[in-house]
Amino acid sequence: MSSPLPVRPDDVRDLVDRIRAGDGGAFEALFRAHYGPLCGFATRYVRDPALAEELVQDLFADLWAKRRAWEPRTSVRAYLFAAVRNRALNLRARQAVESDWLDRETVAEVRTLHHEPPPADEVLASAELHARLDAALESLPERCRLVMRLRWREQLGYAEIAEIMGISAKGVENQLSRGLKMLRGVLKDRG
Amino acid sequence: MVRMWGFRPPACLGGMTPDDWPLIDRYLAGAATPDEARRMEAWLAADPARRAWLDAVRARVAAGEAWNVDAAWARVAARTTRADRVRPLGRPDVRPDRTTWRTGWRVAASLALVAGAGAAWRAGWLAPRSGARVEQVAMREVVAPRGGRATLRLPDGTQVKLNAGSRLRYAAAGFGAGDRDVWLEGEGYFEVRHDAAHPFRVRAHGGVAEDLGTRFVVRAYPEAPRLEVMVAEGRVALRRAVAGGDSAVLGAGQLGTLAAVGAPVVSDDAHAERYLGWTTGVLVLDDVPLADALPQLERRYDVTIALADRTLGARRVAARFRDQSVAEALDALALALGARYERHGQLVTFHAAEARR
Repeated sequence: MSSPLPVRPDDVRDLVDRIRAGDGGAFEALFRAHYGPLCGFATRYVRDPALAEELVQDLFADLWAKRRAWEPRTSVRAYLFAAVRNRALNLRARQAVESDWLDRETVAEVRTLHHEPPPADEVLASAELHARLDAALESLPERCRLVMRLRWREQLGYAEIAEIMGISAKGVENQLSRGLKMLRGVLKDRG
Repeated sequence: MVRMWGFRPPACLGGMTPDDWPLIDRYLAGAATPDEARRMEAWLAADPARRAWLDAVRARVAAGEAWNVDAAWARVAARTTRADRVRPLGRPDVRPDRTTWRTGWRVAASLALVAGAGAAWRAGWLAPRSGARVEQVAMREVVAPRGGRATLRLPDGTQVKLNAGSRLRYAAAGFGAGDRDVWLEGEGYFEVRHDAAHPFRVRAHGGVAEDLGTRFVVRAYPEAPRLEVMVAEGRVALRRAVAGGDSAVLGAGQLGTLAAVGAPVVSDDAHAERYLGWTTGVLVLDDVPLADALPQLERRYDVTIALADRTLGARRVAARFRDQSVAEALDALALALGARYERHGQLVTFHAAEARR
């Protein structure tokens, strides 16, 4: 597992410059590279894939319209994910549905896992493993699940995730530590 | 499927403890050093339950979803040139849409001169509204998703199959009443209802393939600036879109090629299945350099393939894929190439086998 996504800052810088200069090919490349991951991320907030797609398409259309003023501070990916999160939160605030999403993101659900530790010689069907992982994930706050997604699916760095989620790098570490320990608890061998 | 496994007694492997979460984190994030990756692999290899656990975690937290990027891009590209909002998305694979010749389509090549310098002309959709005098025709666009194909019947009865990641445009209203022109980007198979009074023409890459009573495939991918026509049955005329060039008439089994410059070239010994195979779900790679085969593989399986060792691109591949999954196809390729690959979601990286960690 030695090759994460190659992100070369020079290339990214170049891409931003080209888009600012009105290069449609560069803009299309940016769109195609990030559309799927951004939609997946947005769906975690708005719960509706069609709404998520609309949100991401709006973002890119606006980005193009305002390209001359575009100045991502750190990385392009962090900018895009952060913009999606902001728009998703705004959307939810506008719709004023259900409870405040920020609360749901922040507050851990207090449910605990109720299962006896299996005997050492017990065999475990994969279905049970999956069910227990689901339960473990369910017991974690949404913010923790989002951080894990950004880290392990999008392979972003701590600083980028911190920028996207509006928390400190230490906070990112805490979320990952907490999430992984919870998931690790599902695997009962203590090897 | 229910796989069973037992738990092993604890073992100390490479100094890894169950609570060494930063190591697992870096491994999952693709940020582990080679040494860390080795430690992690050893830990995973010691017990099948660990591998199953890790795969299940990945499936939950890092699983990919399928999004129709082509259709989404068509919508965004249209919005960047039109003030009005594009109508909502229809069915995900076959997407009718109102748009103009100016939006996102290579037929707007003449706009290149208007739009000016740089790569901005590339797709034509940036052309300033006032700068281009182009007939406003409502076009219907059909996009075949990457990883799939699309089949459609045009209003005149012509049957069309589009290969993965290809798109076709035609007049949204009145198609078949006059000349039947369609615009292709990618690869399409046409089974045309011949009608000499209403010529059927496929336009792509500055060329025109005109039906003379036939079934044929037109191939015009962005990565190869040439138009290729393989005739399965009947005859097709191939010429350049601008007036005055040479024209060639192709018969069954003949391949016509129209490069960026020069007259059409007709070849009798082309491998027909290589061009027609996809219409029945077969991807044929007949001894082509891997670098040339990559775009086809990427579209067919909706993955992005990188070559860590550039020499791999020159190795030749002969393969036939029909029902194989992505993993099976990649395994077969790796074996044939003497290479290995890593896959993170949609990103696949091939390494020369000798460069083992």
